Amino acid sequence: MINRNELKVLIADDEPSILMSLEFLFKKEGYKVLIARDGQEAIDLFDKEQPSILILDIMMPKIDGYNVCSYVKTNYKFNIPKVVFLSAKNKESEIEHGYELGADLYIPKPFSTRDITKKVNLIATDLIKN
Amino acid sequence: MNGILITIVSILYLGVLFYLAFVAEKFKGLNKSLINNPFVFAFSLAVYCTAWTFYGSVGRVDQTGIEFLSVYIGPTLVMLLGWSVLRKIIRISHVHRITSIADFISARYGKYRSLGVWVTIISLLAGIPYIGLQIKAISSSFSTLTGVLPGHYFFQDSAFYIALILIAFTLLFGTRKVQSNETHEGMVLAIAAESIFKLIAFLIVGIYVTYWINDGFGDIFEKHYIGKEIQKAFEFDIHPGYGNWFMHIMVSALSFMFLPRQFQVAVVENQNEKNLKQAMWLLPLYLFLINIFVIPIALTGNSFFASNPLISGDNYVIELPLKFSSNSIALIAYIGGFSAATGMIIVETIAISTMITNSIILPSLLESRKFKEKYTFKILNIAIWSRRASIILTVLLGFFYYKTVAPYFSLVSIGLIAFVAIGQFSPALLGGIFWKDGNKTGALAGLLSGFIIWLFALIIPPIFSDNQGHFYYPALAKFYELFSSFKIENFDEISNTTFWSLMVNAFMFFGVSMATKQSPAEEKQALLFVDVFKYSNQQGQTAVWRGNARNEQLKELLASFIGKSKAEKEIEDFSKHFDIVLDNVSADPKLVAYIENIISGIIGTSTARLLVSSISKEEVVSIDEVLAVLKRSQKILEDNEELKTKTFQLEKISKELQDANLGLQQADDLKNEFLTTVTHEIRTPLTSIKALSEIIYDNEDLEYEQKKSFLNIIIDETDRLSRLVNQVLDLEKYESGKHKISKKTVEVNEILNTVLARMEGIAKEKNVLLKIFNKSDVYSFKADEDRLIQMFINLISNAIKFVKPNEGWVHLSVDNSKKYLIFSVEDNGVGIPVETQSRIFEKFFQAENQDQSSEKGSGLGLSITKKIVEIHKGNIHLESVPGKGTKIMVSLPL
Repeated sequence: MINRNELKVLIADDEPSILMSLEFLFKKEGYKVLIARDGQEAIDLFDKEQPSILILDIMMPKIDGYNVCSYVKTNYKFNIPKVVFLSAKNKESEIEHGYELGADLYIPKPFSTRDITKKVNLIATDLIKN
Repeated sequence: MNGILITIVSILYLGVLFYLAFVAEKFKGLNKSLINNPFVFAFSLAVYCTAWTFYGSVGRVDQTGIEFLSVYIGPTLVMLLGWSVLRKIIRISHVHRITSIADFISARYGKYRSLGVWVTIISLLAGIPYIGLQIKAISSSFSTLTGVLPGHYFFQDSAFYIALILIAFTLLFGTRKVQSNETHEGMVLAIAAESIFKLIAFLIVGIYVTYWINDGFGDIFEKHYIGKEIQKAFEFDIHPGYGNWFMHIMVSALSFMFLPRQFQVAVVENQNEKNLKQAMWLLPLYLFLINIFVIPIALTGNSFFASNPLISGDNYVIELPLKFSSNSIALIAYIGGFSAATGMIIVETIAISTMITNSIILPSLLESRKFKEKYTFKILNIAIWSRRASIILTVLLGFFYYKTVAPYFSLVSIGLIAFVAIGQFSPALLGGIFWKDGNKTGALAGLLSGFIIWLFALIIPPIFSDNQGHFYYPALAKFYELFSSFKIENFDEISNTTFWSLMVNAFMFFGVSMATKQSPAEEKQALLFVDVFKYSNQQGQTAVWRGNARNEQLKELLASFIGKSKAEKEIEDFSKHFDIVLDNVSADPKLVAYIENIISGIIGTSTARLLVSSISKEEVVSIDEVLAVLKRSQKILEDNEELKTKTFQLEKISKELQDANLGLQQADDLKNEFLTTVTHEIRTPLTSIKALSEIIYDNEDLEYEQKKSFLNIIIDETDRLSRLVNQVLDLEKYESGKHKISKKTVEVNEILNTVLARMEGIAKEKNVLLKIFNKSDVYSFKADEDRLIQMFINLISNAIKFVKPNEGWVHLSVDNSKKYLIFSVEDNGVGIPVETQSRIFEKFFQAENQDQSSEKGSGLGLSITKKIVEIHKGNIHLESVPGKGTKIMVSLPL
């Protein structure tokens, strides 16, 4: 049985204020939080640290969230990370596209902090159980 | 000069013509026309200018002064003012497939044969001397060049051999092959080329005489305007007098339309009546050019040769270059005259041979029942041979006229006498196409009375009198005395005869027409001719016929003209087009009329009429029935036209709708995209605000510093949100044009100072150097001050965002050109990547490498800036080098 504080959560967003609030939230929940300001940084950090959960914005400079998602979902056969999209893009087609790429959750912006922590915690619990 | 050389040049020249004609025929075989353009058409009309023009104009200046111009003013007036008459004649001829002027006149009067016969006879009588005149011109120019006079016997005269060559040429291109209609593309192209040759030749001689022998026009008048005789050339009102001017112009205008050769090129050979549009100024231009050097040549020639009675004015064109030993110029002049003469002979002969065959020979052969039974289906061969024989006969008659009768008439008079004869066609023809009640009896009465007057006034006296005008027979003298009171004062013979013959002719035509009745056939034709534009389009028209004919015989008849396979195809196409059943024994009346029309184009309307009536039993169709049929067909024509216009309009409207729809869709797409972007941009700060507020709410134990920083972000994001909303609304106003600018006089310095004051704080915060340079000499200009300040604040705050703290600088400078005030905002920031430079003014476009510490922009600042520049009618322009800096220039009109 692993502890929640051994789980690494990677948060990627180009908005500093959103990044700041998410970092605060998940640190408080006890996760190890990694931070990226664009898609490229997210991929680099992922390769290095292999976090279990990714919380991705979609509209990011350099590489967008969709591409980051398909990268991690296709390049890793084992320890496939859980991906949570967090985006202001919330048309049905966009959400569907996110799930098609293998996302585990799609949360539209603006989000509720209570809601997001609850849902991510559920995913984490699943991970820990398995 | 060597006679053999000249002969070789002449033959070479004809060879070139032959080649041109051959090429044109070849193209025609490929269904392409080299002659269907206004230039070839206009040049072919210039066949009007014969040797009479080329040599005779100069000669006439000697005798009657500038009166020579009258015969060119006539045609010029026809082209400029009378083109609509020509167009009507052309349209009628195309619709009825008219082959000659004789055909035209007889077709108008119910295809009445006698009229065709008389028109042909008159044309022949007028044409043969005219052809003789051309042969004489060739012969005398030849002997002038060689210095050898032609021998007494015809075989000693070079002109005889030239006549033979011309016969061969005309035979080859007039009757070479069986043609489906009476057009000769090869001949027309050759004639157009001849017109170019003779014009160039005359211009060369003219320039040679005017600028080589003399020093221009002025010099000629100084040096050569001396002879008493020549000075009368410019006594406009005395020689020949206004009355003569008028009559000569009139008779030449009529001849220009109705001379057989003119009718041939202008009407029969016309490919498209639209070519008239350009010809109406091209031909007058041609006539102007070919006459421009006539007087200089005449004056110069007169002063050199007037004392030598052996050299006539008609030969100055060649004699002048010879006198100055310019043999090559003389040879060019000879070729020019040769082309003028041959062009006339070729076209005239073809036209006359067609008339003789179609209007005299074939109809009279068909009179005989025996002939009809035996040869009805072989008539085309007979037509061709008859035409060939007529060509040979006409040219030879011309030649022998020149050898025998010509000396009785002066050169000038031959041309004008012919004109008066041709003028006799005009009452019947012009009356026929504008007045429905003109009938064949009237036409014939007018034509014959005019012809008789012409004969008695112009032809008989010179033959039966000596040089002084004394008749050989006293009885004749007495007879002519009876008419002496008809002599109009100051009118010459030509004008006098023109006046009386046309007057009597027209009077008889109208009088007799009104006194007698029209036959149904005439009524029908009158209707079709006068109302041609009403009942036909350019493709053709409905012909009216009723009776009994057998399909088989019709087909056989048509096949005898155009061959079996072509005939079958023609009939099949026509029946398909009009839904005609061909299985019946008896033929559809429409088909009969159509076939008669095709055959008319080959052997003339009267002959075609006779042929069709010989294989059918015809019934008389009353004029009411004709009218009914025509009205129906006119309705169809109109309906078709209307349908076409309607379809066209519908297509246009539907295209417009499609375009509008597409435009709407694009506008809609743009709007949707804009909304999506706006909502996205709004959600982002909202997200931060909501998240941070929740965090503060849920975490009462937050440290003071942390709480303060979170609250600070919330405030910033709220600002950002309201800024965004403001700018979106602002931009929307610009785009919908709701933003009205209020231009007032603003001082450049004041604006700069205001901007500086507002931006200094932000620049200092980041420790960026903000400097202003005013290099312009403009003190004030008209602009919307608030918007301008907004624009500079946008640009400068943008620049500050992209420079590094502490070492960055931003310069705002002003300069001006004559018409523009030029502002530039320059920085030493990170610059804009080349690939995104073009997108920088797009809405919501944000450069990626902006300084994170600055407040986040909406991506609308530059779009708004651009709009502000645009409503000031200025330009905005960007220069940026990544890593070095960016310069944005705004030029506003003063």
